[in-house]
Amino acid sequence: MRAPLPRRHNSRPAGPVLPGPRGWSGHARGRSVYLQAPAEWRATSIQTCGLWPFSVGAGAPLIGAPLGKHILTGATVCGDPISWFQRAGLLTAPTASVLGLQGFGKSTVIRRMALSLAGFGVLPLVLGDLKPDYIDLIAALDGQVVRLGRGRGYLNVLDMTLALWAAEQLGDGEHVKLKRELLADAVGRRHTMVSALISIQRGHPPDDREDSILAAALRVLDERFDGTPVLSDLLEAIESAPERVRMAAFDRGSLPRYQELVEPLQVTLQALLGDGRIGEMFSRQSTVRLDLDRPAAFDVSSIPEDQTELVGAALAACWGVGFGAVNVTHTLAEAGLAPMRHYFIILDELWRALIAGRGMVDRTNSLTRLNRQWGVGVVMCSHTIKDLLSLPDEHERMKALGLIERSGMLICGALPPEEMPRLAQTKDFSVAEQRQLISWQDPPAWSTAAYNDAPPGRGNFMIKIGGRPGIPFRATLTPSELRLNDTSKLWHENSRRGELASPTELAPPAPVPL
Amino acid sequence: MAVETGSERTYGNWRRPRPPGLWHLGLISSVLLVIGLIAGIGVIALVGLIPGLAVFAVMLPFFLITMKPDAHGQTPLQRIGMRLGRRRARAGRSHLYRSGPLGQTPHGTYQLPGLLAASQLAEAHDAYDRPFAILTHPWAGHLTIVVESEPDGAALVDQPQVDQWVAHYGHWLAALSQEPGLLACQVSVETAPDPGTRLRHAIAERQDPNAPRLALDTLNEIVNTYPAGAADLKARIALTFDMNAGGQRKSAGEMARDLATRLGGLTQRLHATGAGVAIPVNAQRLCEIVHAAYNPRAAELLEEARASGQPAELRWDDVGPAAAEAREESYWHDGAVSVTWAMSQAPRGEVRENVLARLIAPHPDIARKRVTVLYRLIDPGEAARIVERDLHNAEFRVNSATKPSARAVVEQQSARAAAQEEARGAALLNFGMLVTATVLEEQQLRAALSAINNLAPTARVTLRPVWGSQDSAFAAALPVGLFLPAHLKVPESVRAAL
Repeated sequence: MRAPLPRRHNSRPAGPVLPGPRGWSGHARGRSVYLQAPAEWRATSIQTCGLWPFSVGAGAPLIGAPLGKHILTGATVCGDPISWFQRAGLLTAPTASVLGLQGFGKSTVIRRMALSLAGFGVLPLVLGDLKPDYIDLIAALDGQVVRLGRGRGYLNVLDMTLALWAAEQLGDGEHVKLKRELLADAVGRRHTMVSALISIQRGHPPDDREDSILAAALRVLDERFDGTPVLSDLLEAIESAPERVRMAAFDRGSLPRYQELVEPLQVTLQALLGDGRIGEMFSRQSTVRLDLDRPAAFDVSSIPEDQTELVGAALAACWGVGFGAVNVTHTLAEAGLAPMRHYFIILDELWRALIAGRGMVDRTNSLTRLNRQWGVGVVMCSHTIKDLLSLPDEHERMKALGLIERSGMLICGALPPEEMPRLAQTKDFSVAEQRQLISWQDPPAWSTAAYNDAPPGRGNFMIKIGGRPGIPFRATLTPSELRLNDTSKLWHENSRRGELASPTELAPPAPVPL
Repeated sequence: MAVETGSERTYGNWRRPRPPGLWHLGLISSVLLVIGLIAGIGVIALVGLIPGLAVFAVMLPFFLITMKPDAHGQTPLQRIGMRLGRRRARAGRSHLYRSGPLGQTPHGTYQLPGLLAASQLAEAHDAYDRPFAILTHPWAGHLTIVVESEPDGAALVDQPQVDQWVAHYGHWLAALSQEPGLLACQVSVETAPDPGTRLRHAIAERQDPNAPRLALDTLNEIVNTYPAGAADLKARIALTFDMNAGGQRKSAGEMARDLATRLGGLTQRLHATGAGVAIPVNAQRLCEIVHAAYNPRAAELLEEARASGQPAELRWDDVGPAAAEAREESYWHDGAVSVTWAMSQAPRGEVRENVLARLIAPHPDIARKRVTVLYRLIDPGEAARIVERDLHNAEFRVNSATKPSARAVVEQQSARAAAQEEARGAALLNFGMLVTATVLEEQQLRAALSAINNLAPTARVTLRPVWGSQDSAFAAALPVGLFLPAHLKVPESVRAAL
């Protein structure tokens, strides 16, 4: 049954004129005169599917900070934990981990992410810059650089001024629940930071009795002390043997027994005041207050790398202070008393803090905990999973692996082959993807023509989220960033021996005759 | 065969459906040959030698021109028919097309030319309340729905996963042949240069005007430099239903209601075939797709409008080109030139599933490339009959010779394999392929032609430009479900039988 034939034009049709089966007939009306059907082959569906049309992929969605160009298709690859969590719903938590060998551009990718997010109105916070990699960027973004280190700056872990001020703003009216939550969080964080410092100083965490003593002593300080206490005040508070602390110590009414019980704690706290491994960085009032309306970075690069305890302690303290301040801001925003700010938190060299002392993995978990995941993205940087697994304790290792596993987004740079089985445990990497990651670590070929010190795999990364194929991209920098990224500025000036003003001035002393 | 050589799966065993007859002749030609021979001999016997030879002399050219196919399988009869067709077209000036208010089309709209002029577009909602476009071809009695997806690609995926995807694709094709009323399926993969508008809008949308200068400058630089050289790839699957199936002609509305419930299942099963998430195309999107094909320069503007949140509102009778010319070897439309090729020789022997990858992948010399694989579904009952008949013929050829040729033996094996696969539940399909390459300037045409000529061997196919029917082949390669065999004047069975 065919559709009714349209009347011809010259026979006054009753209804609208319809085109014929080959198109409109007439001059310049595009009628298809000669048709050829394409040649056909016949096969069963089991064979025909071999001409599979989906073997070439389309690009990835453009949600988030533009990181680079897709290695295979050249399309732009975008991604960052905040956008993929909040806008795309691709992640269950707004955290990302970056893994890769040293020198292959990890900090470049993170800098690009931070810079793009800054363009979107998110404030980058670098809680502990060790090399330093990010302070130039933060300074260029009109941010605040807090310098910490022996003699450069101090950080008081007992400082709760920000939280107390915020609690006052919240008042006892409709926001009393938020106020209680905020204060509880600040108190807990403070306790964890002190406990972390003790763990690092001693090498092992305080036992449960000492924990209770600490908590009680801090409470006593809150009640009695006027102003902001420092660690020496805490020591004094324990020394003065208040009732509350004695009850926590369970001394059964005997003062000598109390003094015996608190002595190890007091020894450690005394060491934290200046003469211990960690030095006096935490013994005085904070030299700078964090301004959370601007990007910020904690510069801990002056701490020598080999002082692992001090590095670990500094990082842990920065995290506590930083996350605590973010929590305060968000609570105030939730109460409508302050504008909502979005933060992008960069935790560099995560493993340094984890291996600084036993029990640090748990402390890290509680220090980096946030009440609200909205408006914050966290990126954790590490070299390889092997670093994380260099913890002595088995279940600490498992917990450290859990940190990587739970991060929504994994960005991998060049990695060695031994790393692949461990990597496959965290996310489902195909063999082809693993080979790609290994190939990027190849050094450049020998060349007599030009001295090329950049390995060809530098700048290549792969974004992996659970259940989807990895997205390999190459981080290509724009001219503005190249000017900023010069991390080896020190080497640009060829090292010269000082020019002598006159040859005789600095002549070495004459050799002493034997 | 889908055999595993070691750990590699290969596919093959497709054959040209050969009609029964003597040598290359179809049934009608064979019958005419026999009648002619009898007539000739009769005339010699009854009338005389000279008249008999005259009869043979008259018959001979006819058989010569139907007998000898060239490299692309075209007989001289077909070539003559094509030339005559072209001449008629030029004489009647119907190779030109001028539309719009100042053009020649009766309604004064920018209607689609040729076979698509009579098509009508409507929209309905499926079971998940997603809008989907319904395209009817009233003269052929066909109805098409289109689904769009962005495939993930097999680049960094392990072989077992790819094998699974391909197997699921086979199952999906087999399931299609069991869908009532479904006549043909068209999978069209189109690559186009990325104009960078999507990135620009994605970034402009998130940009904070109060952000630091450095951040804004960097984002600006990224938006200006990154998209250069990238390409966009989309896959579209068009399913063509027969409105006359089951004897009774159904209206578009009835079929739409029917399809609304079936569409969800069809799109979901596509996901496992490696096509990615498949979304039904709504009417506006279909208009954009077709308009971008006929007028590639408008594609960038359409993309821009879509990205800025105000998609252009096109009507189906405005998506055609304002001016077009169907030339011998190319199709000129709105300033762009396209050439459409048809596959004249399928890959011989066995191939791996990535055989079409290089043909499909974006090419810098070709502005828009469209590779369309056309499937004609065969009814399961018919399929059983066909494979049995093929097996029977192949075995006859082998058994009737004392020393059967290698080809005959291989044909018997392949016919047996096909029969076994069909018995195990596979469906039988006819497939063909069309490739369209569009360039924006005439000067780029040479490079595009050379590019396709180099890509065809990588896909192990022979491509023949559809000389003389560039306009209809262009329309057939679009993802609008145009089923050419139903539009031929000479019914297909007769053509095949010649």
